[in-house]
Amino acid sequence: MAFPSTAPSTRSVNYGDYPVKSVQMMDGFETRILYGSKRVGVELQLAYNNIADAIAEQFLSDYDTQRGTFGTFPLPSSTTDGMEQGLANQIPGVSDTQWRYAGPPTVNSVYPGVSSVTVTLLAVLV
Amino acid sequence: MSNFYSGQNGRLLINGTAAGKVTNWSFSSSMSPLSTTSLEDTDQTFMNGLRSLTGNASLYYYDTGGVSNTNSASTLIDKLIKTRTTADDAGKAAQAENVTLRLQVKEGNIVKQIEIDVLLTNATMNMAVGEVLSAQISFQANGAPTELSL
Repeated sequence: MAFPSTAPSTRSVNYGDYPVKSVQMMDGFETRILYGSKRVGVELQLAYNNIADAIAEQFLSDYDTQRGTFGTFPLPSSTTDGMEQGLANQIPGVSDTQWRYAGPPTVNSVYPGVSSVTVTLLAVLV
Repeated sequence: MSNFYSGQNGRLLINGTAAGKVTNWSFSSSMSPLSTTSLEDTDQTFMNGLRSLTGNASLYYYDTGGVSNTNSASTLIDKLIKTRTTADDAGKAAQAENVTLRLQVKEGNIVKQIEIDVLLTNATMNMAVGEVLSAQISFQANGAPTELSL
């Protein structure tokens, strides 16, 4: 089961930061060391409101397929639906990034046969 | 030919018994749509959500002249307000009772109605100089109507 290609209702992106280490010297000066050329810690929070239970089930099935937070997978393009391409490009792309679940999807039942799902994903450089 | 109805065609039944001295009844049915709008959409989309039905009725409070006063206003008030189970325990009394209401439009033998099982949510009595004592009752339907022929 692949990650569902449904367009999200809301999306929140934490664009992460470059790996920087700060060292406090004895004389009070701070030295910052850049360890990489790519942003890390990119986080994507996606909410799918009022979707059919069958689609909500796909999220849980994919979570099982990935063995929870263990497996990595590419994201469908629908996760950036509604976003200008320039801004969407700032989210790590499929060429160098996979994603993994930060935790289990949260499913809220709102109506018979209708649920809302929230997932949080973390970018994994490959 | 069109038939129109007015207050003289209105009737309220409480647990199957016609209520006396009803001055008005009303109900309002509403539905909360569930948004299905996603990020690619330019216009909001919805699907049907939960329905609810609330209403109220006003009744004059009167004396039937007998030993036990059983006017319709007191019937409804007694369903909502309960006295203490024991005199020294202020915090315990019997639960309010649900009521089956039929809000009818009646003309001759033709009856159009909505029948609903309701929880009484508010009872207000007004005593004022120059006015007839009356009670206003508000209710919340418990689930869908059991009959609808309006």
